[in-house]
Amino acid sequence: MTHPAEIATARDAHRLAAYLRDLRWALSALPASDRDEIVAETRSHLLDRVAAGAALDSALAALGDARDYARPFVDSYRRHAALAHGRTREQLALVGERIASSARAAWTALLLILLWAPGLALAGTAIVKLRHPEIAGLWVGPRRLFVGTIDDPTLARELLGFWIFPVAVVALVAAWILTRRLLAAAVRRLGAAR
Amino acid sequence: MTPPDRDSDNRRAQLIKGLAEMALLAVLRDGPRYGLELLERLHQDAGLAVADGTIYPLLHRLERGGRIVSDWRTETDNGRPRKYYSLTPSGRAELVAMLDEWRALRRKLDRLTDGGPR
Repeated sequence: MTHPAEIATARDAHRLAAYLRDLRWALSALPASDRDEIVAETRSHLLDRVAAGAALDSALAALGDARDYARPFVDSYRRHAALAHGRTREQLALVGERIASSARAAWTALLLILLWAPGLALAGTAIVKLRHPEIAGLWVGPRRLFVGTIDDPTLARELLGFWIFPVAVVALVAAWILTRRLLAAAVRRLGAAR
Repeated sequence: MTPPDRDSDNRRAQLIKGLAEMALLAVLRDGPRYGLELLERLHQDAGLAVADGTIYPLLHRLERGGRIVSDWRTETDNGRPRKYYSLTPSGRAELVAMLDEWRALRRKLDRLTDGGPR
């Protein structure tokens, strides 16, 4: 087996190859060209460290476990791809993964719930209204305003009638537009914080 | 490790990360450099002990953001190719903005800590 001049022993050559193989595997989410570049640069870095007199083991330890070392590359790529292609599902997944560790992600998730709640309530009620128009709607009673069904329609006044359909559509479209903006801003900021 | 220690470590890591990004762009102002060279310059000239495992993801992110570009060059010392990074015009502009922020912040902190005129 041949190995670079900087690597003196077969054991080190084996260790280097194993690390680079683990790294390549951990970077599998990236396009092949990016992966090849990162692996080649890591190899170059390790050979430089060894050529400067460091032990391969300590040079590897300084980079850290291959999976930990790969993680920021993968995170950065996923954020970039999610933003560049405007993929809502990927953006949502990135925010979801960070809820426990980032106040920004947690606030974003809370805002998303608040954004979608009215639209979904209106849409659900509108569907019920198709079959039971007399009990479903936006009701105003003596003490409260609510969307949904009511047991006794004489206790409250219904405000929207069949306008509930376009209003529900507008609420859902508005929630969708705001979700896209909110997620893009959150993912951009999550990236800046790393 | 107690939670306050961890908080302190996190704050320190975040601060160093921000400073490292600025210092890294500043080193590249002098000309193209490869990763290990950058690490050594940051360590020796600025006292910033950036981990080996931190610099390459940072370079990758800056390159993806258009602040720097890279190319592989084969140097004569060992005949192996190395990846060299250079500043882009956008990276240069970002560096100027970061340095302005940094100088303004430093002036204010100096005034605060030295108790000088406001």
